[in-house]
Amino acid sequence: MNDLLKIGNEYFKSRLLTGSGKYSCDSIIPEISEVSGSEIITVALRRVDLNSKHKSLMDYIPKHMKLLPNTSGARNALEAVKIARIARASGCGNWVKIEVISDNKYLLPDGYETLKATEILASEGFVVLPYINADLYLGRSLIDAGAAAVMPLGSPIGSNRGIQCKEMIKILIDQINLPVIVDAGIGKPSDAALVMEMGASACLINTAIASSPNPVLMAEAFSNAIDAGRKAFLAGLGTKTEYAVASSPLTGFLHE
Amino acid sequence: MKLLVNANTLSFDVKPNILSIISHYNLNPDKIIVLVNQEIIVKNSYSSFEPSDGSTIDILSIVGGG
Repeated sequence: MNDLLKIGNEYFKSRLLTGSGKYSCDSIIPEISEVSGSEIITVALRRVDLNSKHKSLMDYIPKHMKLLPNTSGARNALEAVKIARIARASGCGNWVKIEVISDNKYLLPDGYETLKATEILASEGFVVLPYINADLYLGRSLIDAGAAAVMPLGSPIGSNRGIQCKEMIKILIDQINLPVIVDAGIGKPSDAALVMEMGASACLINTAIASSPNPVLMAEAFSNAIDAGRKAFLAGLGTKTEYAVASSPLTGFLHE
Repeated sequence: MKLLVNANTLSFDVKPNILSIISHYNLNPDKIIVLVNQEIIVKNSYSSFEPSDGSTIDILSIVGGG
């Protein structure tokens, strides 16, 4: 089945984007990447801790994977723009996940600042994937500003609370003609399957895999769930009814 | 002269270049990103670029993130 995910001008077989944070040891990342089939991986940019031996995450990321640097740590548009430019200059490519957050309790994205950063970075040739609240008007404005996709949250980052914004995500999927990638809060494979059945283009999973006692097996479980959800969406779900509808013939009973 | 490297003050007897600062911390130049006074320094000028006294140096790297 030739069902590819298109972001910008690139095509991907996998609809599972993975994160690279929170693993107890980065050396597990190659195995996670292999079993998940993921082709896109998020990374972050930070100051080096000069008091301890520096280990490079990049040594563990398979070379074929597309890097998606995030702008985590940015509190406004200009900080996000700065991080994106540094990431590109450092050889991470021209993709960026814009993440502008100033609320430290819920880590909710600042839509206004995210939009401003998107306008600037898209005009500079970045492939921009903004992390947002599931809001139709913001989504439309981001697409107008040149975003390549939108990444609505299911629930707060790292919370594993699942798809709390289901109805709003459904509206985005219906109204936005670019990929809707559900990011944040997906806690279990059935959450991912749910949004894929709804027609989401992809999911980005980090915490749910990294915080599992068996991250490799969980990565495979997410891969299966996303495939299953996607196939269900493409097949089309059956009709829901209020009352029972018999699956077996209602004629020819033995007692007749 | 003094430099502020990742928010730590560092004193040098002779004027360092970026490569000598990186070497001081045993860092691999291919695995890091260097900013001097907020400006990105391209890798092929690490051995020739000499920050002026009081400059702010940021040494960054790619880390895990979601």
